[in-house]
Amino acid sequence: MSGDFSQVQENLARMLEVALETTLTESSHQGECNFRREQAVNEFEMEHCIVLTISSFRFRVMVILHLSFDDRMRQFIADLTDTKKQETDDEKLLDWLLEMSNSFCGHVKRHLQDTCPPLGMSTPNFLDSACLSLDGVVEVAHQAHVKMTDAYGGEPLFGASVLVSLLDDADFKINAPQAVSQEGGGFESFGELEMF
Amino acid sequence: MRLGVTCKSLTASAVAGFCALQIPSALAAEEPAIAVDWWMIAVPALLLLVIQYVVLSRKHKRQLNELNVQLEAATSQISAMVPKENLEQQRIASVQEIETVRTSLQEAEAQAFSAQSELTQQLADTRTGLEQQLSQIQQSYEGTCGQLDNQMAGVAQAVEELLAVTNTIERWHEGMTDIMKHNKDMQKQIGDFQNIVGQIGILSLNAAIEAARAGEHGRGFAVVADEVRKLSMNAQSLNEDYRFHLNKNAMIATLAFQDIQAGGKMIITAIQNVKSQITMAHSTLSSRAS
Repeated sequence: MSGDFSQVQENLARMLEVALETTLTESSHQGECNFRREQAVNEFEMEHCIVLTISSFRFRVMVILHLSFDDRMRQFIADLTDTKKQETDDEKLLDWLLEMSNSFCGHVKRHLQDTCPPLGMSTPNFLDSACLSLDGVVEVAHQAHVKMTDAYGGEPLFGASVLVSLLDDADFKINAPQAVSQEGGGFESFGELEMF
Repeated sequence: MRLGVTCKSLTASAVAGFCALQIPSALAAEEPAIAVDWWMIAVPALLLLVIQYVVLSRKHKRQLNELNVQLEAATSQISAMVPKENLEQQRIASVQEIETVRTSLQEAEAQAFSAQSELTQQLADTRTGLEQQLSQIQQSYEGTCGQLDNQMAGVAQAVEELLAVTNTIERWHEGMTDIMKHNKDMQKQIGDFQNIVGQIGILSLNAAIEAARAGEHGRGFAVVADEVRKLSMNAQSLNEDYRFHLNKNAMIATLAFQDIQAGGKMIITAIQNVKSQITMAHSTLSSRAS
C-alpha cells in the first residue's frame, strides 16, 4: 500500500510538471521549465493563488496555481503576449492569468479522465495566498506540490499544487503522465475562458 | 507318335544288327578273307547299335514318364468334375435362394416406404408447430418492442427534464458569485479597518506622550490614552483573527462554489452520455422492429 501511495504522489507531481510546462509552451514561452518538489501548500512564498476544482463521483481535486501578481508578472505577461506593459490594465492581465490557469487545469483534467471519467471542472478564482490555511477545510488523501526553479527577473514565477479528497473508500489511481504535449494552440490573446 | 518312331528305330536297329551278325557267318563259310573284313565293319556297327539302343530306350522311358504324368493329371481332373446330378441340385438351390432374397427385398422396400411416409407426416406436423411458435414469438417480440419504444420515449423525456438542472446550477452559480463578491468586499473592509486601528494605536501613543508632557494635569488624560491604546491593540488582534477567518471563509466559499460548479458539469456530462446511449438504443430497436 505504501508503495502505491508513494507512486500516486510521484505521478501527481509529475502530472503537475507536465501540465504546467505544456501550458507555458502553448503560450509561446521559450525558456526551459525545471521544477523542484515542495512539501506543503504554504511553502511557496508567493502572494496570490488561483484555485480550481475538478469533481468526480468518487473524489474532488483542488488545483492551485501559485504566483505573485506584481510588476515582474506583468512584465512576463507583456513579453509573452508581445504587448507593452503600460498598454494593458490589471483586469486584462488578470484575465490572461485566469485563462492560463484554466488551460493548466484542463491538462490536469484530461490526464485524470484516462482513469476516472466522468469529470467536471470549475472556473478559476483568484485569491490571496493567506487563504491557503486548509486545516479543517479539506480532508486531503493525496497531495503534491511543485515550484518552477527557472527565474524570471530573479525569482521563480509559478508553482502548482494538487490536493485530492476522496469521497468513498475506493483507491485513487492515476497513470504516469506522458511527455510534454505540443498539441493545441496558444492563448496569446485576452479571450474568454475556454470551458473543458 | 514319338513312341511309334522310337519303336521303329529300335526295330530297324535290331534288324541291322542281326544282318550284321548273319552276313559275316555266311561269308566266312564261302570266302574266309572277306569274312575278316566284315568283322571289322560289324563290330563298330554293333557298338553303334548298342549305343543307339541305350539312347532310344532312355528316350522311350522319358516319354513314358511324361505320358504317365499326363494320364494322372487327366484322371484327377475327371475326379474333380461335379457330376451332372450335383450341378442340377445346386442350380435348383441357387434359384430358391434368389427367390428368398427377392422376397426379403420386396418386404424391406415396403417397410422403407412405410417409414418414409411416417417421417414425411412427422416433418409436416413439426413444421406446422414451429411456424405457429414463430408467429407467437414474433407477435410477442413486436409487443415488447412497442413497450420498450414507449419506455425509451419516457426515459428520453425524463432526461430532457433532468438537463434542466443546468438552470438550477446557473442559479447556484449566481448565488455563489454574490457570496464571493461580498467576501471580497469584506476582505477589503478588513484592510481599511486594519488601517484605522493602526492609526488609533498611533494616536493613543501620541496622546500618552502629550499627557506625560502635561505632567500632573495630564495624568487623567494619560489614563484615557492608555486605555485607548489597549483597546486599539485588542481591536488589532481581533482584526487579525477576523482577517484569518475571512480568508478561511473565502476559501470555504470558493471550494464549495467550485465543487457545485464542477459537480454540476459532471452531472450534465453524465446525463448527456445517458441521453446519447438512449438515442442509440432507440435507433437499434427501431431498425430491428422494421
